[in-house]
Amino acid sequence: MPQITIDGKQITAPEGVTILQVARENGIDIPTFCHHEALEPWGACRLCIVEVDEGGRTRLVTSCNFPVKEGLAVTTKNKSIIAIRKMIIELLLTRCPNAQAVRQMADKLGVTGTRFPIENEFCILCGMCVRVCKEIVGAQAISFASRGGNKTVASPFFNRSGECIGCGACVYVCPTQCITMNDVAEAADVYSEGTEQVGYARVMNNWRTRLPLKVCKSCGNPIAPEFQLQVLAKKAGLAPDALDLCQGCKE
Amino acid sequence: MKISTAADLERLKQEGHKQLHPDTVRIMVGTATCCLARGAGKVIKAIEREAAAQKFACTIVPVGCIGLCYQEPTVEVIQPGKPRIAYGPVTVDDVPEFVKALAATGVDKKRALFRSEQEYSLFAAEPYRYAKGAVSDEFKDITAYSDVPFYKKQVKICLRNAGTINPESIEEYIAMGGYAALAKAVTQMTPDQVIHEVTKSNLRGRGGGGFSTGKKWTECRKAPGGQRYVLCNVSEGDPGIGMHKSLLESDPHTVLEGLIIGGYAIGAAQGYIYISSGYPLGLKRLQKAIEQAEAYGLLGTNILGSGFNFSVTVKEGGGAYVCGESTALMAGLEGRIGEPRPKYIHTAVKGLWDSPSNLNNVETWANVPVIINKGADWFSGIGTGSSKGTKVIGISGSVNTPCLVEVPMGTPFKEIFNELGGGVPAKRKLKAFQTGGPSGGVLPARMLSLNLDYEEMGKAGTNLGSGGFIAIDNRACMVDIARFFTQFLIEESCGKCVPCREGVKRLLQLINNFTIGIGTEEHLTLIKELAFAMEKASLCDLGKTAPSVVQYAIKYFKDEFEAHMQGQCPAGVCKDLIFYSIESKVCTACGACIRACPVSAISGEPGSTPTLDMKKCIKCGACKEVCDVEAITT
Repeated sequence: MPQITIDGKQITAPEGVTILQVARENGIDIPTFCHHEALEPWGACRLCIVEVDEGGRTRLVTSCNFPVKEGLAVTTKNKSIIAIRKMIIELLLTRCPNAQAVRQMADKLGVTGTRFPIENEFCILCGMCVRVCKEIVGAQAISFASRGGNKTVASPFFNRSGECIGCGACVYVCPTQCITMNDVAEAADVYSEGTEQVGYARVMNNWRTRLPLKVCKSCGNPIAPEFQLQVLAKKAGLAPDALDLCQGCKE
Repeated sequence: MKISTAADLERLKQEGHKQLHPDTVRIMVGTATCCLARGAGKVIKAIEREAAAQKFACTIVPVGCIGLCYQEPTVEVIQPGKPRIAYGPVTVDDVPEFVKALAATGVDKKRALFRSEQEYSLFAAEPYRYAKGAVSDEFKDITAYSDVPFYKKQVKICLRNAGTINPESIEEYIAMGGYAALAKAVTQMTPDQVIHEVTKSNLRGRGGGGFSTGKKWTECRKAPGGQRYVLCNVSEGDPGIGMHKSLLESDPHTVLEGLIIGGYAIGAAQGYIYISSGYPLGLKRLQKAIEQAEAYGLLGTNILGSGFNFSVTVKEGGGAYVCGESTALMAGLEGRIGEPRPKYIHTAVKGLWDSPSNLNNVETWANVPVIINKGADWFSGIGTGSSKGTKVIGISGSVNTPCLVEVPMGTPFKEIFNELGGGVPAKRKLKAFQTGGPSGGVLPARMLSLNLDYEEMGKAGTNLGSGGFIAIDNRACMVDIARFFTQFLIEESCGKCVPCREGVKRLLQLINNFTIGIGTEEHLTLIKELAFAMEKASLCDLGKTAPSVVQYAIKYFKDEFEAHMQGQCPAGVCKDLIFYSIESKVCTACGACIRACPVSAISGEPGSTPTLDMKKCIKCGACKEVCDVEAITT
């Protein structure tokens, strides 16, 4: 098992883990914005930057995806690391001055304001929604679109997503709460010829997707998106009518 | 017919020789993209038509680029037993006269550029002589190839066949000594010997990084794992650059041969060529080259009877600048979004589909057959202490003769600029030059004393990049140049990591402050602070080098930034800071500006100085451009 030091502290690290994992297990705080323990490291926010010393050669690396190895000496705080983290959070504060999570992180890192002209975004493009949809849910309903300054997260062609099961994992994981969904009782399609009632539906506001909710055969209350239940039944190998009742009626 | 022995290769060589040196007149027209843009396609048709009309027997062959971009369309003619003569420019209108002269006397002295007595060949022990015996008097007044200053400075390794062979003919490539290196490698050398030779040659990556090719190959060969890949990058995205495009269009087989040898050395059975969709002609010729190589058994199973199997797949990319970065390129090959990932584990160990992968760029691969054929010692005899071989350079911007050249490493930029680029156009002054694209730097004219060398350029703060040289004269504003490159990066950043995506946006805002005259000393400090974070914290080299042009512009042209703080743009480029006025003392009242103004902001009677209405003026500069006496000032 590799012997490493973090901020001078001797640590025996397990094989094949990252600096961030070891640091957190040992109570050493490294700020992160795009890291989630259930997801693969992404290395995009760059807040978790640390300095590593491998046999005399030092360099700055992101701790969330740098694998520990024998003899590694890690510094999590020094003058340039602090300057870089401050600049990164200042850049994020410029982009999302009204996002609570960004403001809290800025406070934590001692940044009170920004010297750049502000924008009014809420998404910090941490990619957690995209990754949770791909890695955990397996739906791949959303992805990044465009590049550079125009980069954004979107459903295919900025239109209704045919893969979204309305599970809400993206809503749950979003650190700045800029993804929302809500269930409505009387959804309807309005055409020039007239209005067609859909009934209960789940609306994924960011992905322009609306999924009709299945109602319980017995009590008539909504259970979950019909498409989600179909996907789950297929995955679990259940009979098509296995998920026809709500939890209350089943019991 | 499959080639399975050296004898087969020799037979094909003879066939190629017959094509290269036919009994009739061989007319070779440059047809790389640069040539086609200047009308080479129409010239070919015109020559065909005219030759038929005048009953002039000849074979017309499309070839690659000979590098004289300012003389396009260029045509070279070989008459049996006479020296090969290059002509240019030969436009469609010139063709009737040109063909007539050829048919009558065998030479068109009016358009002749230079003559070659023998074929340019690196491999032939005895280069083929076009003219038998001594030079006859009728050609003596045409400059000899060896006396042309443009070629004197050059050593052609990658471009050795460009302009001589038909890029769509494998036989002609073989006749010039092609695929002999492959035959040598797979039949006489072990993979380790090939790697040893490449390492010994000190060849360094020509994509910009300058990493030792041999070391990279060794790491990839030694990496654990079964499946291995060799990759070729044909995606140069820097503004003002087209060397690799031209190389691929002129001689696709040399790249392919290099890649196959690399596959043999590293132990890969599969190669991928990632080509930007901006290179349709290169793609077409490359695909043709692969088809031909497959038909002859130079690709596929049991190559040349050695038991080595190798196949190549071409993958078209969308042309994103960031896809020149190795991990982004591999993501693109895998069908994912072209975003880089951290390289804490090298791609030589874990690259494409998590297998050991070796990526080199077109020019690096094109060097490989020559190193194997001529040996590492020959190759490392060219160049400087640490930078060996040659570099293909595209010279553009404010030069008299924009061109494509291949010079030995260590050539001073002064020579590249003055002798190959022809110096700065009349009435202008060289202010700066740019190398390495948006990741490189801008250097002041006095630094032309630098030599073309990885270390020397690194010390000066720029890099070689993929090999573009852009001359910038006194009409350009350095703040505007910094703005241009930053704007380019906003569009080309992949947007994954915060320092690059958000940083470049802010950097552009800060520079724009200067272009509209509200920049301050604090803004310069903020640029410095921002640049530090971007350089240190960005995920890939695109972000790390993104502030480089801006920083060097500030370092070497601080006076211009200071002038902008005072609300002045010395070069008269930044529109918000310029106000045109007409000097009545200088004005000759010719009326040219009145006619040139697209918005009728200039009015006046003949014989008197015109008046300019600044309310209407859109500051396009058309009036300034047409004024012969420089009466319009900013």
